[in-house]
Amino acid sequence: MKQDMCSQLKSTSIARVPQDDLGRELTVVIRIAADGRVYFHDIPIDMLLVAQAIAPNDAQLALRVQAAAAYRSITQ
Amino acid sequence: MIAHSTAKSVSGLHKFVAADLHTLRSRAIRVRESLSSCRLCERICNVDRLADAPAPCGLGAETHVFKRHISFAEEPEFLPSYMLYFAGCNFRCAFCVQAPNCFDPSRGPQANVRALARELQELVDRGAKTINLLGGEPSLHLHTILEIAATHSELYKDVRTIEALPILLNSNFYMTPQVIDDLEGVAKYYLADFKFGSDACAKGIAGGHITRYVSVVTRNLTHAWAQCQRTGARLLVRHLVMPGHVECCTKPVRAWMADNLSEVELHLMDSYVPAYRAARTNAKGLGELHRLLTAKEILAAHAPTESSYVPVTVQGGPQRVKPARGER
Repeated sequence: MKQDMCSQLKSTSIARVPQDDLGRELTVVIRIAADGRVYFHDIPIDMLLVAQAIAPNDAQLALRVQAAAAYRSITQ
Repeated sequence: MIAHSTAKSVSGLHKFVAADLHTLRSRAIRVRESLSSCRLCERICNVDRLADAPAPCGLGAETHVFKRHISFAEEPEFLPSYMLYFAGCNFRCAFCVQAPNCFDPSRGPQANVRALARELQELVDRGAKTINLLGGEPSLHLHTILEIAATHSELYKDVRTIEALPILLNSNFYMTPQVIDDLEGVAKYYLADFKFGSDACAKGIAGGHITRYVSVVTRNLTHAWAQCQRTGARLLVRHLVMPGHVECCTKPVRAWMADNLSEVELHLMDSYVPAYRAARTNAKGLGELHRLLTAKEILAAHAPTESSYVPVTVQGGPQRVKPARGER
């Protein structure tokens, strides 16, 4: 299941495309606290899986990934 | 990103009743005319925004959009959410993650109502579940919101299956009640920030011009909830837990919600990060807003409360109001 989502959300060049999926520039802020907490601000669709890799047991995050996968299935 | 939730069910609401085109048009015209003496927010400045007189918030009659994107960071049931950030705000929250861009009313391209109506429908067609109007403070752009809704209704009136835009007002809820009335049948969702549990914290963090914060926001939450029960719109309340403000803000907010709007979802967010003025190392007068939440604070924010009270400023003095039962 997770592998399926990964393939649906796969991006070829996240680092070279500073835009959201509509082609608009979006500045993403990631903060890593000293105690290991990670904060994403304006997380784009492609980076959801990065967040999920960090917090694989986060149920809310799993719902976001599901929503993103559904969205991608419509738009691609 | 939204974290924990103390959600309570609001299921069972009837289908959303959308305002008709005639109503939308007449409201849009009236609200735009009313900008000649602006009373959209509780500051009630009566400034002539049509003449570009300098309102305290800095807004004229134009609406600018400084950012827009598809988001997957809102409450999961709203996703995907298309975020439309209106420039200009009546608050100056010291920790605002959108600051300073959101405070500049001319930031970003000027909104073209017709183009926006088409764009928003296109996003809905692409799968967006909600059109998330935020800012800045979106309620200061009520005229534009109504014009978008009316134009959308006109553009798609011949499409029998078309529904009203799933507009979500993501607001600080410091508006006058008439704004909520004018959004009846327009806003399908109200996402209300109940930021502060005391007027003193509101003044200290959002700006000295913010008066009667608690009474204004609680009045508006009650008003919006009454509308939701009539129209099938949905109200969710958010509270961002702030470092050093669990006792003075989080607990009173939870207590008021438990006592007065126990059927409404309250989302406690423990994702606070210091931004804007709060992120400056030399920030003064902001207490502990320069740091992240501690684990102890997060636990305390979510812990059941035995009793509390809501401090409400009445005629200049804090009053103890009825005891709250906390979590029930």
